[in-house]
Amino acid sequence: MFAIALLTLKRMREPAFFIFLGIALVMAFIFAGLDPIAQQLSSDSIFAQVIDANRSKSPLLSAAFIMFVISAFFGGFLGAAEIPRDISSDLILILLSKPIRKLSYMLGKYLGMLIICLSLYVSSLVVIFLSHWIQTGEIYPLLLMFKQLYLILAFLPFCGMIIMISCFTGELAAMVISFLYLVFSLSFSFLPIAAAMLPKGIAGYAGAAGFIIYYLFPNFIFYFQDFKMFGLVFFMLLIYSLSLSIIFLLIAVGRLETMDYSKNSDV
Amino acid sequence: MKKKTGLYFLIVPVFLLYFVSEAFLRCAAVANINPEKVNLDKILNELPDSVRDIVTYRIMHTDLTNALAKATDEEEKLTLLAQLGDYSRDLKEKENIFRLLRGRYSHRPQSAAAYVYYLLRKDSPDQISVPEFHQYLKKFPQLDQYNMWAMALNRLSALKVSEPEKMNFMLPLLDLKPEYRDYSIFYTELVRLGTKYRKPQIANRADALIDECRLHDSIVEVLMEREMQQASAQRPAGKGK
Repeated sequence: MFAIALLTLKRMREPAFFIFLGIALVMAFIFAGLDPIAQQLSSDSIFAQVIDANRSKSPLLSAAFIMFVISAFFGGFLGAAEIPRDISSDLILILLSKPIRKLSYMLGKYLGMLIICLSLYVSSLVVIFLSHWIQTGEIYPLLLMFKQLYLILAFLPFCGMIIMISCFTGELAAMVISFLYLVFSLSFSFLPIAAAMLPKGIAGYAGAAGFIIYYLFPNFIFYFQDFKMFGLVFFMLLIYSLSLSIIFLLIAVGRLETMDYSKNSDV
Repeated sequence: MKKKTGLYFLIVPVFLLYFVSEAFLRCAAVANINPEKVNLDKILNELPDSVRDIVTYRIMHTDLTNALAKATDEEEKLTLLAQLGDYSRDLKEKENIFRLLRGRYSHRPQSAAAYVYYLLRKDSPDQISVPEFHQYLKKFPQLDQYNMWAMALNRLSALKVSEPEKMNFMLPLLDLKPEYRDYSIFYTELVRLGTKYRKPQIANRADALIDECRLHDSIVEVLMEREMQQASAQRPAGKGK
């Protein structure tokens, strides 16, 4: 598994990774001065209330939020092509002829992609914290810096989702479908919150149908919500991330187990 | 076999954990929201388009039904009934309401929604022809007729009726002596159609009626004046009490 992860991490030596890293760091420096995300939004909006309910004293920084999105985009772009490329180049046949199980292969790919995303995000955070220190002469409180790291949890299902999709499609299609899947998941993420605010029974069968569709997507809004730093919500967020990642990876393993790796396969 | 059993042992608790944690996080997210700061429009804006449309419909339908149940005045009841019939997507409910309005309240302006609904509705045995509709319009004063004409023209547009047919439909307007400025819209359209389809007598007559319309107040002005008169008439009576 780790050997496969290391193989994936070789992508970090490619110029594409350095270009993405360079862009991410420049953007982190540009956005570092932005106010916390709750102050960027109208206080009456539902999203603003979800992410800032005065439960924790450490707000989510706008720069961290933007860099999370950018890191996910770049990481997804690099990671989505991994498995389809192995299949199209027959590298997967060579790898699976060694004493490596398909599950280990897939977990290695997942781990590799997770590390790529995290390295992009964490290095962006370092730039944000450093540029704040350079610009104001003050260091962010430790808890606030820690709060920004919570978004790391969102990378767990995100990478699982990308790996799952890339097991079903080709390189380019994996990137496009991952992006569309992400857009759909964001558009449905407010559904349960909004439905809970409506009078009982008013959503009717539309609400039920909406919920069925909603459960097909991860809800990334949960990662941005305001909660006490080391409370039950954090614990549940961890369980949510892990369970969702396992579900995605199980689907991916199922696909790898039943896939035809010959040149004439559909991938 | 062992592998499959192991997989089931993994899948079931994972899904259970997923649903439990999702429900918990959802409650936590909802708990962050101050209901006093959130109105219905904001909530609806957060819903996906497909769901928003259905939810908005159900809210509006419930509001209308509740308002209808609470209404005491017959005028108000009929207005709400016509609105509900117009708004309802339940064909059975719609037909029942419009049949009632058409059958029992055809002398009331609120029945116009029903008449417009059945206007040229070829798939219905209760279809209303153009002459029948014109006959119906004659029952009402021009103040009420204005909306009926507008609704009927909208219906014709929805049916994608040809422009010459539309022009023929509007011909009775030329026999009216307009009492409100608002009618100039219809005559402007008749001028356009008359000119386009080379009917100069229609275009000229409509043009003359546009000038006639300009001499009168608009419907809103007349209604406001009536309301003010009513209010001033009630004021001394109220004071007396």
